[in-house]
Amino acid sequence: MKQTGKQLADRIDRHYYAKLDPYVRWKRIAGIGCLTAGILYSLFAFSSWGATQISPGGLSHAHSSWNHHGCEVCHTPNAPIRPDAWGGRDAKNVALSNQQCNSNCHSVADHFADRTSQQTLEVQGCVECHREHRGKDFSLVELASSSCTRCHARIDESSIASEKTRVKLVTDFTKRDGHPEFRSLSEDPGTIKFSHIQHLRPGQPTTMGDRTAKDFANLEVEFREHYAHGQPVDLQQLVQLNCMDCHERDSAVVGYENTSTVLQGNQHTRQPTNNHRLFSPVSFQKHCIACHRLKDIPHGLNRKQMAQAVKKLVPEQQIEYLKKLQERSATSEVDIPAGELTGLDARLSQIANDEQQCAKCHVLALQDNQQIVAASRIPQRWFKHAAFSHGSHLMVECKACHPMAFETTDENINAVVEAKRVMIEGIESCRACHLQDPSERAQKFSEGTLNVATADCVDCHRYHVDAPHPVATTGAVPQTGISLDSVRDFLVRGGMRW
Amino acid sequence: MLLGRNIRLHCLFAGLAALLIIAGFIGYAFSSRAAGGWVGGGSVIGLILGSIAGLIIGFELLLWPRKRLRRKKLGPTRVWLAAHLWLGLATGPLAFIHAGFRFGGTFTSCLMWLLIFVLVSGVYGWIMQIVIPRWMLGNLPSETITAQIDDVSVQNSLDARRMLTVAYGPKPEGLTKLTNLNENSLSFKGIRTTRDSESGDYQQIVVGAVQRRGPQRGRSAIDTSIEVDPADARMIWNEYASVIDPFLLRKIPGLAIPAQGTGLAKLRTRQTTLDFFTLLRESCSPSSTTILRRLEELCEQRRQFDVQRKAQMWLHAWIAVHASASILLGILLVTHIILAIRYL
Repeated sequence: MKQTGKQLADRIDRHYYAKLDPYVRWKRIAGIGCLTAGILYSLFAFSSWGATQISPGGLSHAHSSWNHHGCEVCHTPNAPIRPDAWGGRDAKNVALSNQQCNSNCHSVADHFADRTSQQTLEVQGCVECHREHRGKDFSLVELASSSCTRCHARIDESSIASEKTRVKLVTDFTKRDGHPEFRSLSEDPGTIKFSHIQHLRPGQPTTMGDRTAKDFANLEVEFREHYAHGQPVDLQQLVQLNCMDCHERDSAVVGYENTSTVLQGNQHTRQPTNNHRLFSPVSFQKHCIACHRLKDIPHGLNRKQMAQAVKKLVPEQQIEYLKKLQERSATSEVDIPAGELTGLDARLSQIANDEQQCAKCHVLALQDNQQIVAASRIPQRWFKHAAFSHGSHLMVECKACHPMAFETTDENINAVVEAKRVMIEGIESCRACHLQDPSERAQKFSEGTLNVATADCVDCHRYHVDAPHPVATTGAVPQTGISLDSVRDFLVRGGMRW
Repeated sequence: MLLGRNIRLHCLFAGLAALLIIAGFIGYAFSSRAAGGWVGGGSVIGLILGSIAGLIIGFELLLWPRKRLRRKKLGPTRVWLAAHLWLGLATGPLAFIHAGFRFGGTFTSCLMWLLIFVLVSGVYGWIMQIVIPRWMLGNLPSETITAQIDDVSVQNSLDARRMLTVAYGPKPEGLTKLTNLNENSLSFKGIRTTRDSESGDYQQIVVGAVQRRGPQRGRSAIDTSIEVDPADARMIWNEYASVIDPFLLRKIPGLAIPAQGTGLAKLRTRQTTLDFFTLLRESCSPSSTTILRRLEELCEQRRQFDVQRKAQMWLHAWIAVHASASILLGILLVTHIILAIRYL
C-alpha cells in the first residue's frame, strides 16, 4: 500500500512550535537572572555599604577612613561638587561643598582675600585643586600648574590689587616671560662684611700668597681635626674651608647623600627624601671662633645687656673694672649709679668701632642716639613667597646655584662689596633642571642628564597663605638678647680684660 | 538583516551614528580645551553625550516590546534592525567620550564593560546571522526544523527498518537487538506509523533521493519497485542493527540504544562512512546497491542534522546572552543616572 501525502505529513508534529525552544528557555532564564542581579546590585550601590561601588576611586590617605561611610560625608545631594560639572562652579554649590570641608575639619582662609576679586574667590571650591578619589597614594597637594595659571595667567581679571602691588603674570615657569624673576633675590639685606671667595681660598688670605694665610699650626688644637675633614693633620698645610664648615644642615640626610638615592626618592615616591630644608644660621661661637678669637668681649651682646649682665653677675669684678676705667678716663667718681654708665658706654663704643674687633665684620648703626652693632639680618630663608628645600637638591652641587661664591680671583676681595651681592643665581639656574614638558624631561634623562625635575607651581608655592609653610622658619635671624650663661662662661674663663 | 539587501538603509543609520560620534568628539575636545583638562561626565558636553547614549540604549531595548507588539505595525523590522545595529554601535564611543575616556569606579567600570560586552555580542550575532544562514543554505541541503531533528531521525530509522523488512524480510535472529521505537516509549508525538511499517504490509518502499530541479535542491520521494538478493539479508541487517541504526538514533533523549559503541566510529566522518559503505557494497550483490545507497543517504542526512544543530547553537545562543546582558545594562544605566544626578 502506497503512503499518501497526508500520511507522510502526519509524521511531523505540526504543533512543534508550541513547545518551548531550548534557546528561548535559556533566554528567559538568563534574562530573569540578569534582571535579579541588576536589581540587587543597584540596591547595594544605593546603600552606604555600597559607597565604594559608585566611588570613582578610593579616597586619599587623609580621607581614607571615610571610604565606607557613604557619599554624604562630603557630597551634598543634588549639588554638583566637581568643578567641571554642570553647575559645579555655581557660587551656591561651591559654598555648599566648601562648607563640608571647612565646617568640621579644615579652617582655611581665602587666598589673599584683600587682593583677589570676590567673583574669583566665590567660585574657588576646595575640589578645584584638591582632586579626590584618586586612591590612597595620590597626593592632594600635587597639583597641575594649570590650577594656578587659571587665574595667574589673567591676573588682571582675578586680582583687585593695585598695579604696583599686584603679582606679575605667570603662565609657565619654564618660559622666559612665563614667570617673573625672584623678587626675594633683588637685594641682600645682610650687614655682615664677609667674603665667600676669600674664605674658600686655601688659608683664607685677603690676596693669594698673602703671608696672613692660615695653616693648621695657627689653629687651636681643638679645631684642627675638625678642619682637616678626616685627613691627617699637617701643621704646615693651609686650612681649606668648604661650604659645610659654616653651613650646617637643619636636619641630617643620612642615607640620601648618594645621588641615585636622592633621584630615586624624588622620582618614584615623589616625597621629600629627607627632612633637610634649610641651613642653620651661621654661629660665631661655632663657625668663626676657630680663627676669629675675641679678646675683650663675648660675642652677641648688645650694649645694655652687656652692662646689666656684668653688673648683676659679678659686682666685685665690675667694681674693679670701673676703678680701672676711672683711672684711664680720669674720672673721680668711684660709685657710678645704674643708668649712668657713661664711662662704660664710651669704652664699649671704642671696642665696637675697633676694626679688629666688632667692626671687622659688623657695621654700626644708631639706636636711641647710641651707636650699636647693627643686626646681621642674614636671611635664613631667602625666598619669602616660595619654599626651597636644600634636601631635595642634594644631587646638585653648591656651585650650580651659588657660582659667585666660587669665583677664582687673585685680587683683594672687598668684603663690604661682596656682602651686598646676592650669592644665589636667578630663575634661569632653576630652569636648567626644572622642565614643564614631561617629554622634554624624559629626553634629557635619556640623554644622561640625571638632574631633571618637574616645574609645577606647587613645587615651590602654596595656595593657602595662612597654612603652615613647608619650610616653617622665620625670615631673618632674630637679634635677641644674650644668654646669661654665655656671659657667665665668658667671665669664668677670664676672658674679660679692659 | 542581510546587509546587501538594505544597503541604503544601513548607510543612512551608519552615517547618523558616525555623525553623532564625530560631533560628540569635537564638542568634547572643544570643551576640554576650554576647561584646560579632560572634562568628565558631569560637564555640559558630558551630560549631553551621556544623555544621547542613554536614549539610544533605551531605544535599543525597545526592540523587545516591539517584537511583542508586532501586530501593531510599528514600522518595518528591517528599519528597526538597521537602527538597532548602527545606533547601538554608536553608544560605545559616545559613552566613552561621555566618561572622559575613563572607566571610573567599580560601578561605572561594570557599566562600561557591560556595554562593551553587549556591543561585542551584538556584533557577533550580526555576523553570525549573515554568515551561518548562507553557509547552511549551501552546505546543509537536508536541513529540517531544528526542534524536529529527533523526530525526523526516528522517522528515518523507521523508514530504513521498513525498507529492509520489505526488501529482505524481518531481521534474522541472533543479530544485535534494535532500539525499541514503540510509540509509547517515545517522548515525542510525531511518530505514528510504527506498527504499519514493521508489519511488512507495504509492497513498495519509499526511497529518498537528492534531486536538482531547477534552482531548488532537496530531497524528494521516489516510488521504486526493486528486487534484491536474499543472500545479502543477514549481512545488511547485521550492519544496520549494529552500526547504522545506532548512528541514526544517537543523542536522542529517552532512547536506550543497545548497540552504541565501536560501531559508531565507522560512520564518524564522511570519509569513514564512504569507506564503510564501499566495503559493504563490495560484499553484497549489485541488487542491494539501491538499498545501500538509501542507507548511506540517511547516514549523511543524520550527520547534517548534527551539523545543523551546532550551527543553530551558534546562530541563536548569542541572543540569550545579548538580550539578558542588555537587560542588566538597562537596569544599571537607570541606577547610574540616579546616582550621577545625586552625587555629581
